[in-house]
Amino acid sequence: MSQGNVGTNRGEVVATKQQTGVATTEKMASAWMAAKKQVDLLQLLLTQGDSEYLVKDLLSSLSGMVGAVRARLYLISEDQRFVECVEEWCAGDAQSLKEEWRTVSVEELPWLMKKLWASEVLAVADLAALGPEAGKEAEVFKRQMLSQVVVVPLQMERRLGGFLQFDNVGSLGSLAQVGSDKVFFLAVDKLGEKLIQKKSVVKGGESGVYGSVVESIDEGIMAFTSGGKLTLVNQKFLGMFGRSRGDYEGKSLEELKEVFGQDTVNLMNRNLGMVRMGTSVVPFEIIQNVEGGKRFLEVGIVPLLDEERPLGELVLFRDVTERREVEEAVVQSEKRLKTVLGAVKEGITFSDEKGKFLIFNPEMEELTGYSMAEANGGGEFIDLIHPEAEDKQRILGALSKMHEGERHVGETTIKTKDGKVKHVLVSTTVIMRDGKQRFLSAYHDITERKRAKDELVARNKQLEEMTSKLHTTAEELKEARDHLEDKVEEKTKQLSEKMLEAEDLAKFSSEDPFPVIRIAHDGTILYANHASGALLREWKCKVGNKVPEGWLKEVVEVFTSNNRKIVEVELLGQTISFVIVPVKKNGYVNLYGRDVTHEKEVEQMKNQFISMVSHQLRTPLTSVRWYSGMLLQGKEPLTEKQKENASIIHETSVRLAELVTDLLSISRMESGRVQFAPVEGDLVGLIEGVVKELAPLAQQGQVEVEFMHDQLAPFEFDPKLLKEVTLNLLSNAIKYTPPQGKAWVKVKADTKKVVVEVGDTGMGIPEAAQKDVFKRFYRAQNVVDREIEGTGLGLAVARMMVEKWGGKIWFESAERKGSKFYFTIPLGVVEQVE
Amino acid sequence: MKTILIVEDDKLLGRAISQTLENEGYKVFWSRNAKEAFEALKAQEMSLIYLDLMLPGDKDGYEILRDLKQDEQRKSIPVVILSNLGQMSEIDRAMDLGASDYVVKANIELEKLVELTKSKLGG
Repeated sequence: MSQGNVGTNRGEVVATKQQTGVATTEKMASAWMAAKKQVDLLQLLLTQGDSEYLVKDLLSSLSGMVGAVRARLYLISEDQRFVECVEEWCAGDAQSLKEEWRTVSVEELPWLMKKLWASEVLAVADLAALGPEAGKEAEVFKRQMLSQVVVVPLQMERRLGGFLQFDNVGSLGSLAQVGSDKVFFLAVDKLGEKLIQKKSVVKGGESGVYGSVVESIDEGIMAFTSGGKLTLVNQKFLGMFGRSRGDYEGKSLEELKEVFGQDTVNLMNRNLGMVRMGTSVVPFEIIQNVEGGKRFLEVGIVPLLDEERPLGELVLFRDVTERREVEEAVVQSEKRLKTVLGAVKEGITFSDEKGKFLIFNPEMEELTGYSMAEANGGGEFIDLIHPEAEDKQRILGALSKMHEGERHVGETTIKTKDGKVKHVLVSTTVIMRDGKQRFLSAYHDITERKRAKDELVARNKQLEEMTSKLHTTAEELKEARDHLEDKVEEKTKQLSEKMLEAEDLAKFSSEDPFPVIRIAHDGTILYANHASGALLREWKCKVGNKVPEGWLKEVVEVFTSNNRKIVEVELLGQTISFVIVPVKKNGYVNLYGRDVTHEKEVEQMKNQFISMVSHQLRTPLTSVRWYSGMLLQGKEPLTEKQKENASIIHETSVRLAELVTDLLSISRMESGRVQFAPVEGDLVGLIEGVVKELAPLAQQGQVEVEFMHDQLAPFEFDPKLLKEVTLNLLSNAIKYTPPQGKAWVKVKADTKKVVVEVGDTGMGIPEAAQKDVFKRFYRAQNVVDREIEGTGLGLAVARMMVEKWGGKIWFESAERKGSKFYFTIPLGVVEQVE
Repeated sequence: MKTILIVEDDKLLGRAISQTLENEGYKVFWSRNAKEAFEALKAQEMSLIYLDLMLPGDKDGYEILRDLKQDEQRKSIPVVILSNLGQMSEIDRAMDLGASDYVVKANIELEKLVELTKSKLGG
């Protein structure tokens, strides 16, 4: 394997990473890791109580590394109450910290101290962005006119001894530009200087402070003397390459080719040569086969100088295997992606948050007419393909709202390089990388599909128009046809009348189960069907004969008056009802018989039942009425109380008697026979009477009854019916209202009618029952459940009565809230119903 | 003294009418069925008859009315139907048979009956 290749590969990967922004973060981390090492060293030196003059140098070198214009070393006082700036380094023109600000109370830095105690490194890029918890620190930083601050805790004797503060760090982002490796090696460089100053490099080994410094570093280190002999390796190095210290020390690189391999030795020799010639070299990478597999090692070489005199070189090895493996995987997956993308027919793009394309496949180039270079070069691609600002805004708007993994699919139009407008279906997925959006988009050309669809829509529209026209034509045709049909019908009618004359009587409904007979106006039987046999026998005649005298009379009457007539005949225990229909122009009548025996029986039974009921109910009622009446009219004086009670009995019996009559009248009303007797009267007085009559019921039910009315001029109404209706409704209102409720009667009048409202705050009528309340014997479930007595007749009778006088009755009700019944009495209309 | 025949099978009602009319100074005969009624008519000349329609026994009120109206001696006696039946068919039937009035018992006060009696008998 060739290191050159590896190096080339790595360069590529780094380039890719810089595009994607990954490198930036990573480099910052590396930079700080390097600085941390330096700080560690500083700590070590401080702990050793050694060389104060070194401190300032270190501050300077560290500032250089992080691009700071100032670096300050603060130490925490013995009593832990304040921190004091004991050393400061400032770049040439940077101002030094004012004397009075050298000491800061710990109380002014609560948040900072907390972070430092937690061994956290703080990097504040923008003071304004500090949260409210860091309010005090913000004050302090502001006072010191700092803008970007980095604070690194210093551990001494395993506790927080102080911190380093770097001010106005050029840009925290610039750390990335410095480059991790450079920072790292710079740090090591400084370390080297210190080692040389102590003139102990050549001694090497694990002895002494510097030995331990070398050991404290996390990278493999080997140092060469200016004579090219290996003088020092650390434990980490041995961990990487194996063998023992003795196998390396004093040897030249050539002698170690068994360890490193010829290629690596050549590569290192080349770089070492450049370093010796005073050229700095970029870190390179080697691949080392060790136990446990292939390792990728980053190699850096720096000269060891003493007062500009070369002492030798320091070679550092950093194990980057994991990182390389990740990078390899990325490269592989990107290769795979490219392969996949090469195979698809859609235009595929992959772009970063700035709209720069990382992938722009050939299909996309074909679709848009732009190459990837053109798409990325100068001007925004989105402006090229979406010249309409609205389109662009819509797309950017949709994309900016998207979160990771979300997909946005939309139809849009694009303008190609040669000015063609294409319809595309764009599907965009957002992929988050390091908190930044990447967009993977697929463009599917639907121009053709769209055109086909538009054409289809246009055709459909045409078709619709045509259909519509056809429809209109059809309507016209239909009208014409209807007209024609009317004519045809007329003709047919005329024809059928003619045909009727010539009609073959045999076709007459001989199969009809009921008698059908045709009799000429002189009484001659023209036709009789089979079912007419019994009647003809009764008449003692047959077709061609004349009907008996009684029937001749009926036939002549119907024929002369030209009106139908119904005649009932008892025949063999059946009642047959005949409809006699005149057919004047043909000179005869038709008789259509129908068996009404059963109907007759039912009607008779009903009448008998009603007679029985009225007798059975009325007889005891009459007793109560008459005897209570006798009590009131009698000679024996009654006490007032007795009189009142007897009155109640009497009045109630009267009302009961009337109710029975009303019950009976329901059946009469059905046949249209009801007594309606309007007389001029005092409606208010009548209703007052009703309210009074129901007072005991109201008292018993603890319902308050109120009567409100307009002033009314006397007018005509049927007092009996009206009283019955009011009594019905108000007694319902009281009956169906729980104790402490209210019931009322309101009478209002306008020029056309009187409206009576009977309302209550009672249990109301369930919605499901509302359509049925006027039905006879119907009772809503909520009143049945409460076992409130009633027949279910009251509202049925009320409605019949109201309708008899030409009024209307209706209601509004809500369960558990109450009901309001309204009925009207028309004014100036005296409707006499038979 | 004017005599009135009451044909009424209900004891309480018969008693109530009898008492009321007697109190008005009429001589009242009260029969409970057709048999008793014809016996009373044989024994006594009547000025007015109050006749119930639904009666126990072999003849109901309609038949009594028919018989009376076919009896030359008695057909001039005014017969007021006093019944608790009151359908149009029933009223029509009674009126057709020759009743002078038709009163539904449950719907009339005794005072009204007295008034009616007075008007029939001329005071």
